[in-house]
Parts: sequence; C-alpha cells; structure tokens
Amino acid sequence: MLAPLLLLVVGVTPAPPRFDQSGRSIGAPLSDRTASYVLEARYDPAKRHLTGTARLTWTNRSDLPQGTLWFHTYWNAFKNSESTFVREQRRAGAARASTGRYAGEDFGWTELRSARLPDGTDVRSTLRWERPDDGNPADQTVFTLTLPAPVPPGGQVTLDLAWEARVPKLAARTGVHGKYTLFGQWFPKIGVLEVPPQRGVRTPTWNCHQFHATTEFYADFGSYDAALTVPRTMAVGAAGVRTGRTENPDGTVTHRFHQDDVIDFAWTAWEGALEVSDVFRSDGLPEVGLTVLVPPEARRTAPHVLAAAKVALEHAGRRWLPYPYPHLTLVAPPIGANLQSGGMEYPTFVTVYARTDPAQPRDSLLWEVAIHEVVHGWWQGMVASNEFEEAWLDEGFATWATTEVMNAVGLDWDLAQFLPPGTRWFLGPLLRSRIPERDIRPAGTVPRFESSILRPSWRFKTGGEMGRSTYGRAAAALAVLEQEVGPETFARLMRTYAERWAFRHPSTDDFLQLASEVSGKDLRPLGNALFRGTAGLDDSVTGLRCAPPRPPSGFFDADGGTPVLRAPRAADPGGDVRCEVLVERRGDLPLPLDVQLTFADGTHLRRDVPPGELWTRIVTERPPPGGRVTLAEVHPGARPTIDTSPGNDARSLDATPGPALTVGGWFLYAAQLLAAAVGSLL
Amino acid sequence: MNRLLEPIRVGFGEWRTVAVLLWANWLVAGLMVAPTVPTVWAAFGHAPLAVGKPLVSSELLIGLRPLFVGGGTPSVGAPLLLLVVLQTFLVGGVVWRASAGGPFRLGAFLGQSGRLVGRNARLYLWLLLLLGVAMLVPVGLAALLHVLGLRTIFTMPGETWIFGSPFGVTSVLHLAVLGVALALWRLSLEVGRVLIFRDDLRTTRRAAWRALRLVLRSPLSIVLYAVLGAVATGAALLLMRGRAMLPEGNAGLALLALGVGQTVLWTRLAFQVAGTRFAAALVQRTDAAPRHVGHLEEPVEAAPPV
Ligand SMILES: [Zn+2]
Repeated sequence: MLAPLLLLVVGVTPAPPRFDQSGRSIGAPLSDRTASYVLEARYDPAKRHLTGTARLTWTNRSDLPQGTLWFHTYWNAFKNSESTFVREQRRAGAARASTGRYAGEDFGWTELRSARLPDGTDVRSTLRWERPDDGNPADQTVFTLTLPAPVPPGGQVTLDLAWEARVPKLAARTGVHGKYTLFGQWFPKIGVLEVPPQRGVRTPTWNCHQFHATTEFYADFGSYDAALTVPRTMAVGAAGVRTGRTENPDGTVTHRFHQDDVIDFAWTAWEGALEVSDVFRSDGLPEVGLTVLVPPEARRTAPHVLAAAKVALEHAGRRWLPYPYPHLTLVAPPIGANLQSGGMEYPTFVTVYARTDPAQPRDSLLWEVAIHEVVHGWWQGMVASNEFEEAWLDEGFATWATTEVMNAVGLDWDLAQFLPPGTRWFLGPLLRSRIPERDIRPAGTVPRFESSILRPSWRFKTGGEMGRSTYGRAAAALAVLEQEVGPETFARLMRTYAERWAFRHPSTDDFLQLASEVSGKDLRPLGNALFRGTAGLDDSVTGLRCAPPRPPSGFFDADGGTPVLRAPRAADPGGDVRCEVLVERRGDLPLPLDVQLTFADGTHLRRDVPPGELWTRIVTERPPPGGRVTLAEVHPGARPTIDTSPGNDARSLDATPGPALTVGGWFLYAAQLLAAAVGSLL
Repeated sequence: MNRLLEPIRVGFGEWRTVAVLLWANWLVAGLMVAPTVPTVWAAFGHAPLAVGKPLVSSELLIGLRPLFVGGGTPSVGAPLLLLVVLQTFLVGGVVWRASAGGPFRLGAFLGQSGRLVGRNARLYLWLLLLLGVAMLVPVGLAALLHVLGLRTIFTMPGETWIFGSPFGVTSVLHLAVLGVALALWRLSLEVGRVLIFRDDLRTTRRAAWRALRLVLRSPLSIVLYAVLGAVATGAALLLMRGRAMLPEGNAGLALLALGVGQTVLWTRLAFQVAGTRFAAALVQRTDAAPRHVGHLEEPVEAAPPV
C-alpha cells in the first residue's frame, strides 16, 4: 500500500528492476557469464601492499578443448622501466601515463602465488610469460597457465588464484596518491577466448594483449563478488551493489560488493573521502542508486556530477537501452590525482573530475567528463567492444554520445570555466564563450590523416594521434554516417545496435553490417573509407571573383569570311557580369560535394562536383547587378563535421575585414602584452 | 603617499617618453605578428561564416590550428631579441627624463640613450647576479613550505590550475615575498641607472654596489616600490578586463578594441617611467651630497664618449 502512495507523491513510475538489491539478476541472466570471480582482497596502505584471492569460474564456449588459459597481470606494466607500457609511454607519450617520471619506490607489480584446481592441484608452476604483441622479454603483463586436463567444449573450470601486489604510484587509472588509492585492472584477469563468428575469428582464438600505454581493456561478462578489507579509516567505493560491511577485530573493515553481468570490477579505498548519495528516478526506466565520492575540498563537485549522471542516464536510457544496473558509483579524485585517474570508465564504477570551485550553474568540465564516462556504460560497459584493437568503438561512440547528451540539454563549453578561482573576475570576460562539444574535439587539422581509425591502439604513431583518431575523428565519422542516412534512421540504427549487441562483443564490421541492414543502404564502402582509410575531408571555396566580360578583340570574320581586325571597344555597359568560383577538395573522402551559389538578387544555383574530381570551376554570366555571385558555399546547410577546416566552406564576394581584424587585432594585442611583460624585466 | 603619487604623476606626465616606449613596443609586436598577416587574411578576408563571431568561438579561435599547419606562425625569438636591444638603449633616455625634467627633445632623449647604453647594459649584467641571489629567498621559502606540506604556485601539481585553487593563503604570501625580492632587484637596477646618469659613473660594478647599498638602507622604499608595481599590475589588469568586455564581431569593434588595448600598454609603460622616477627621487633624497651635477642643461654635450 505504501509503495503506490509514494509513487503518487513522487509522480514517477520506474520500470521494474533487472537486478535485486544485492546485484543479482532477476529472471534470466543478461549475459552468458563466461568468466565470473569471487574476489577477496586485503589492502595495507602503509606498505602499499595488496594480498588477494580470486575464485575464477570460466566456461569454454568453444567447440575445442582448452588446456592453456591466458591471463592479464596488468599491474606488471608498472613493474619497471622496461615494461612495454613504460617503453611506449617514453617513446610516443600517452594520456594519463606518468610512469615516465617514476623513481625506484614508485613502481608496482603483481605476483601470482598459486593457482589451484578444485582437487588441490597447483598449476602455478606452468606459468609462462607471453608477449604476443611486441616480443618484449621484459614485459610481464600476459601469462598462460596449462591445466593437467583441458577444459572440454562447453565445460567449466574453477581456479583459485592467490596473488600479491605492490600498489604503484598513481598512473594510468591505478595506484596511490596520498590517502587515495584507485584499483583498476588489479586482479589476475582471464583473457577472452573468441569463438567464431565473434569478431570475425575462424577458429577459437585467445585475445589477450599486453598492457600498452595507449590501450584499455577487453573482457568477457560474468558475475563479480568482492570482499575488500581495508583499514577502518578508509572509505570504499566499488563497482556493483554494496552487500555488506563487517568490522574486524584488527581495526580493519571488510566491504562486500556484488554485481552480475559486467565485464570488470574496480574500486577505490580513500581516507577522508566524502560520500554523497542520490537516486536516479525516471518514468519507465529502472531506478539507479548513485554514490559520488569527492575530496572534502571539492565537495561542491558532487551536485554537478550527480546532475550530469542523471541527464546521461535519462537520455541514454531512452535513446538506446535502459540502464539495467541498480547502482552507479562516481569517483571524483582528490586534486592532484585528476589527470592520472579522473575520467575512466569501469562498469557501474567511473571516475570523473573534481574541482574545488565549480563554475555555476553547470560546470562544463565536470559535466562533460561525467556524461562521457556514464555513457561508456553503454559503449563498452554493455556493448563490450575490444578496446585494445578497436578503441573507436567505445571512445568514438562515447564522444559522439556525449555530444548528443550535451546538445539535448543545451550544454556548450565555456572556456572561461577553465580559469582557476581568483582569476575568473578579470580573465572571465576574455574567454567567455559557447563552443559546442563537437568543435572542442575536432576531427583533425589536415585533410589526410596519418593512420586509419581502426587499428590496435599501440599501432598509432603517437599517443596524441591515437587520441585524436579514436575520439573526435571517430565521432565525426559517425556523424558523417548520420548525415548519410538521416537523423531518424541513425537514431534507430544506434538503438538497434545497442539492443542487439548488448552483453556481447561487436566488431567494426558487425556495426557496419547492422548499420547497412537498418538503413537499407550499403554503408560498408563509406564506413570502410572512414574507419579503415586515412582519407579526410577539407572541401573549400578557394576563389570567387566577378568582372564585366572583356570586350572581344583580335580578328573576326567579316561578311564573306575575311578575317578583319576589330578595334577594341569598351565593355557593353548592359552586358552580363561574369563570375568565377573555384571549389577545391583537399581530402580524398568520397562524399558527395555540392556547391551553392547565391546571387545578389537572392536567387540560388546548385551544382554537384563530379565524384573523383579534386576541383571544379563554375562560371556564371548574368546581367548585373542582380547577377553577381555574392556567396559561394560547399555543403550548404549540412557541413560534415569531419571537415578539418570548416571555415573555408564559404566565401563571399565582398571582403570581410571584421574576422580578419578581430583575429589580427588579438594577435597584435597579445604580442604587445608579451613585449611589455618581457620589457618590464629589462 | 606622495612618494608614490609623485612618480605616477611624472610617469603619466612624460607622455612623449611613453610614446617612444610604445613605439618600440609596436615595432616589436608588429614584427611578431607580421608573418601571420597573409594567413589570417587568406583565412578570414572573405569568410562569411566567421562574420560577427567573437575571437573565442568555433569559427575563429578554435579553427585557428589548421590554418597554421603549413607555417605562417608568429615569430617570437628574433623580435624579443630586438626588444632587449631597444629597451637597453632607451632606458638611458628614460632615466634622463625621470631625473632631470625640463623640455622633452627627441634628439636629447636619443643622445642620452646612446651615451649610457653601454654602461646600462653592463650594469644590467652585474645586477643579474643580484637577481640570482635575491631569488634564493623565494626559492628557499618554497622549498621550506614544500617540506612542511604547504604548496606554492611553483610546487603545486600542475592540475591545480584547472581543478584546484592555486591562490591559497600560502601561495599568495609566497607570491608577496617573491614580489618584494623582485622589487629589491628591480629598484637596485633603477637606482644604479640613475646613479650612472647623475654621477656619470664609469665603473658599473661600483654603481651596482652603491645602488644595492642605497636600496638596502631604505627597506621602506623596497616595499613602496613593490606597491607601485602592484598598483601598475592592478591598473593594467583592470584595463585588460575592460578591453576583454568589449563586444566583438566586426571591423569597427575590432579597431575599437585595439585602441582600448593601447590604454593597457600606455598605462604599463607610464608606470615603467614612474618606477624610474621613484628611483631618481630615492637617490635625491638619500644621497644628499652628489659629487657631480652638471648635465641638466646640456646633457648631450656634457656626455663623455662612451
Ligand atoms: Zn572515454
């Protein structure tokens, strides 16, 4: 009786939950639960030491017996300066990878102590380090164990793994920063046995890559149960639903969590964190409990993070798939730990950013990163693509989805919000702006890219190029597909993709196949050009000029056919004005290119540039003054976001001194200020 | 109070001197941005999509990066080198105006500049030593605070600028100490220049030493000079804010903004003259028995060969 009354008061009818209050699914499982874990860990922050056990239950989904199992030990990426992660980070750089500045004590490691089968057999002695990607003998981020008897097709194996680890100094979403520790990819984790037709494999194949400076993760779905023991002074936030909290006689507390049907489990132990709770409620969508952990000095972050998370849950839940999980934890790291550990997605557990003085009413930095990480709950959390090999399938999708959500709530970037408190009062007016999310992450700066979007993340030339390609450029490429099929079809396409591939592992080809099927248009050629090619786009109007036609001169046939020299005459004042427009295509992306000319009398002329042509010249002759071309545009009204220089998509006949003087004036002013500043030191 | 107001009055009254300094500033800044002019005009000279947009917009600032992929970026190094030369040259004239008064003549200004340039350059090099020593104070203080777990803007994690509050009590106090240390150095430099001009000192090392002693004997002057610097910075920031608040979007507004921007520069440079005047007044007051006064009327002729 109480429940309907409450609903009447609140006015919201949520959908029935998919999981109970202990994180266990109600009804049929959402996923195949190939790899499930019961984790127990004890963390001693004073020694930066972790002792753990994991009972892994793994199912052989293939039709071949499997005697050798592949595992990740991600933390060995931080073991020493010779790991593949640290070497790559030194060579090509990567976001969030401060391992280059590690000194002796900063490094960390994971060491497998035993791996027992139910009959007590310890297969630890069969451990073999594997380096499938680069053969680096110093890398210990992948190992195999060989079982005395293979797991039969469709069979299951249970392994009790015991390990110890030294927690590294905070880098790449993992480690210690003061009283805050983030545990990501922290337990020995089994790789993915890909089974045909999964991601195009022809035979059952282990997909278990080394930990690279630019890669993230790939895992099977399963149930996770965790008992995490830490000193009583520490707050704990973790994936899934909190199922218990036990005080131990030794001054520690064991925190228990559970969640079915997820691909990973991450957590934080943090002395001094503030915990703020809330609930997401919306008609027809399941309720989601929300917990934000914030540093006390940035407590004002919490309302921003909660509001942004709700907006994302609402939009994504309606557009793609209702968020099925009952709880979502968002960690806003302490100041000093944001760049290394903020902005990371794990299922039902994400890290965002914290600011001591958020801009009001909506801090775009806090909102953007929270929205981005929450929508990852769909793109990779549920639609579990391979982030090692096809990072764009989650980062490009999440970037595109973030733009969607931000547009839906009218949120743009205001660069003034980046200013630190104390400078906003006088620098604020300088940077105040409204820049759409789409433009903050441009596709690139040159019309030919250095790498295809679709490639393993460690095979980009630099970390920066990997980031640009898999985030902004991939999102722009999705927007190109959206333009190609129209917004309604594209919305349907994305929903179908989420519904069909949730709790499975799609590839780029699976996406393009589905996109073609839903749109009724073969999108694979364009998709392959966008994701497998390096072609970019910079369509531009490079010339527009009008002049009266030159009067004819030279020899002309007189009556009877004799060439006669005609005396030059002034142009006919009533004659046509001749305008020439030059359109150039600097990228090779095979998109249709249409041009629109606007005449002084307001009429328009449209032309298509033939496919394959890199330039075209359009000449018009019409009577003045209305026949003058005043404006020439490419892609009128539908600018492709992948265009690397959108500013040159239109050209006017009249000069526009305003923008040139605005930019030039600012340059000059900035140079003057710089000269004055240097001068004051002389 | 008058010890601050009088130099400011002189600084703003010496408008011809400020104009010479502003001209040098224009020259240097113009050389910096000159390489960008063709690129900027090519990109924005017939760009209807950018019309009416402020600088900080997708169409202008955010779209700038691709424009400079093929070059045409501002040049900085060479113009700044020219600035060093010009400024070292012109300070002689500024010291003349701040110390002697009388009618402004461009020829005399340049003559004084030429007469003193060598010695002023050597004096600057000597005082770089003092700068190094003076900086030990804020550097040591920052290290001490760091050990105590307190952060200055030089020792805090870089991300504090975006996520945290860089200007806490500790960092502001540290900045104040840094300001006073800089004021000590800068005032010594100014006083040294005044001494060289007034007493026609030949040995710049001795001038530097005398200047330092004179400044150290008057700690209040260091504080007042630091206050003068703070007032100058505050005034410039206020004007910069005013300039930033102007609407943007067309040629007229851009030119207006450029004009308003000149008031920022004018103020900054007038305070530079005021700083020199402050030093000249300090020398007059504390060194009551100058050994040699003689080139107030005929500065150029009295100048010995450099
Ligand atoms: Zn992401």
